[in-house]
Amino acid sequence: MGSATAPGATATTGPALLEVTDLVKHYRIRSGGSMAHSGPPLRAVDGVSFRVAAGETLGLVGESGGGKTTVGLSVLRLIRPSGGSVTFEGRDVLAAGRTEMKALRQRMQIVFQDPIGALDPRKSIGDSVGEGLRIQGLASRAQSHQRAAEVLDRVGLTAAQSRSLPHELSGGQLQRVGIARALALDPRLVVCDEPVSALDVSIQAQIINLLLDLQAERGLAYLFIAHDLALVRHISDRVAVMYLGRIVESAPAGELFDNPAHPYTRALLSAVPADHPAAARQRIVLRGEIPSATAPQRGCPFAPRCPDAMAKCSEETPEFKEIAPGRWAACFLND
Amino acid sequence: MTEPLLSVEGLRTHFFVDAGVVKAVDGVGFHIRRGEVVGLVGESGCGKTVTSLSIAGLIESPGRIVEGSVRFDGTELVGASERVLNTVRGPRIAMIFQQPRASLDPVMSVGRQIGQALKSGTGMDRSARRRRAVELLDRVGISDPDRRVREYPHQLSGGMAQRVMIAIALAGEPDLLIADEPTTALDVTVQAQILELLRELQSANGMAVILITHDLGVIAEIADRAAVMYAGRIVEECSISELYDAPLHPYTLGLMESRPAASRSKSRLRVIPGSVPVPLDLPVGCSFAPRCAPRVESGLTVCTEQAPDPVSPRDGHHVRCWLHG
Ligand SMILES: Nc1ncnc2c1ncn2[C@@H]1O[C@H](COP(=O)(O)OP(=O)(O)O)[C@@H](O)[C@H]1O
Ligand code: SF4
Ligand SMILES: [Mg+2]
Repeated sequence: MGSATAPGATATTGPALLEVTDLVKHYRIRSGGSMAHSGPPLRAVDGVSFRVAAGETLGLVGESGGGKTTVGLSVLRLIRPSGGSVTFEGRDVLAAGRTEMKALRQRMQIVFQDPIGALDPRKSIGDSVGEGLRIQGLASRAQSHQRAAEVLDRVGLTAAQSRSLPHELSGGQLQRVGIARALALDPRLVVCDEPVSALDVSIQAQIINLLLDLQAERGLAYLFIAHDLALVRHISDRVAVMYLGRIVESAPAGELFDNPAHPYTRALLSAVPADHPAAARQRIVLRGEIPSATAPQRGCPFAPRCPDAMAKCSEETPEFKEIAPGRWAACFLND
Repeated sequence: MTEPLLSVEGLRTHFFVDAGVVKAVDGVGFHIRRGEVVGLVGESGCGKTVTSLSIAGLIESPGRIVEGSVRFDGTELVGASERVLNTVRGPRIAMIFQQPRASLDPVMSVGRQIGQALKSGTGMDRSARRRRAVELLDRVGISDPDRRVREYPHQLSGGMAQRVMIAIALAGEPDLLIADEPTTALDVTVQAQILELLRELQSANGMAVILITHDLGVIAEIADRAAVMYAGRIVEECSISELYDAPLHPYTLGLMESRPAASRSKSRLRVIPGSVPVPLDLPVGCSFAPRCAPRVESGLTVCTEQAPDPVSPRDGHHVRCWLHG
């Protein structure tokens, strides 16, 4: 569990709640043609390591297709990684048997961008939330009702709303339901995958406040996946930046945003619209778009788009290493 | 003073549905000069898209423009014949949307779709249109345009599809481009490229742009003026610098203050309580009143009785709020 192989912990935090080491997820995709055969694998996640301490928020950012959701799903074993390890509270998640997995699922939950997908359209909100508890074998019918009512109240929904069907609620209210479902089992870690990106600005702020309050009350840890960088800066203690299946930089949130070490992070940050019209900025406009993760790779995955690339960058792969206390990056510029 | 390129006045567009009348746009007025970029901001459902479809004469049943005027370069478009609208819509007022791939025809090559936009009016023959399509693709920053012109929408990424939409929009060399959330579905890096392109085309062609977005940052990047919409009305209209430095409407203020950048990291954000009202069931008086903290603080009672009319506390700064008039 040495920090040399598992970057991401802050110097001050204790043992990791979640430790992900060398996580790999390859998808075999079929290429076309009559003699269908599998082409090169799509390397959705290609050797990702990080830690999340109890009560801490790790923000995960990067362009779409970079592998953020795949990491989130792998952590909960909602998909099977192709390699690497996931350790939660000292237990090996990928090797857990059925009963152990059930216990782990109570401690690790997920909130999705679109909560409605996880809800039965014909069941009341209260029943759906309670059912989660019964599936886990945690509560009797009466107890599960009671617990569902408590968490729904906590996330700011009224008793009348908990008797409604999903389609009767607004997007913001549904996301409160999504959070209630996750909370019902009293988890230690919640993976939040773009939890507010489908919501209106004024509702986003309300949901972010709810997440911050719950963290303060219950010491929850979040793996917070989002593409809104201002929001990620606001909510995260640490931030990891993903590009083409790899983490290219990770650092305490303030440091990463004020002083990014990786050219990809710099480009990403400079693409964020100004927060004031007078803040005319020097923009690093990245050429092209994120390439497909099936292209064979040699050298730094970012080299083809990197404004600072050197000859070496397309030959050798830079190692992801600690460049300053608590700061990690994979780029030759930091050598 | 010369006449603005577009003036919208007292526009009301309603939808007559079983449940009642949806007053999607209910008294919208603004104007835009040649070469100007106006940002239309607001949360979903506030009527931004219906406003732009009304301008372009694209409202379909059960919707109808029930009142108001849309004057474009001297021509009244409300109630104009399809023939008149066809000379304006497309060649002179072009539109791009949030979902570029959905707006493209999936079974027609990129080149033919641009060619169709060129057909109306230009009198170019087929090979001239093909050459022009390649030029336009090049103009919007698509590399290898000779190859791309033969491709189909599914072969394009989201950013590329939006560039193709822009190329189609540019085909008629429009005076006004209405861009409805053109970057909302894109990554920030691609958004920056598209905004850069729009800005560049706008200044090179002197084209006016109405940029519709819910993202205040996008407005800050590109617009000269902003109009903030709430529940079917423009509640504030002013220059971009005043929007940021001296907003007057409590809703605008609330949006500004709820941005994460406005509070210390990990602290609670300032929020606007409640949510946007359903346009079927708008409150009497000011639509923002149920969410308005300044109303409560100042003890104004008129807000819940009568809707405020626009006033101009400063030159070129219009606001609909009893606090200011
Ligand atoms: N075809 C339609 N039938 C009924 N209501 C509609 C229709 N189109 C839009 N609306 C309603 O009009 C209001 C304004 O919508 P819209 O202009 O799409 O808002 P925005 O673009 O600001 O998100 C919304 O309440 C929406 O539901
Ligand atoms: S008119 Fe009254 S309720 Fe409406 S925004 Fe102004 S103060 Fe608030
Ligand atoms: Mg819209």
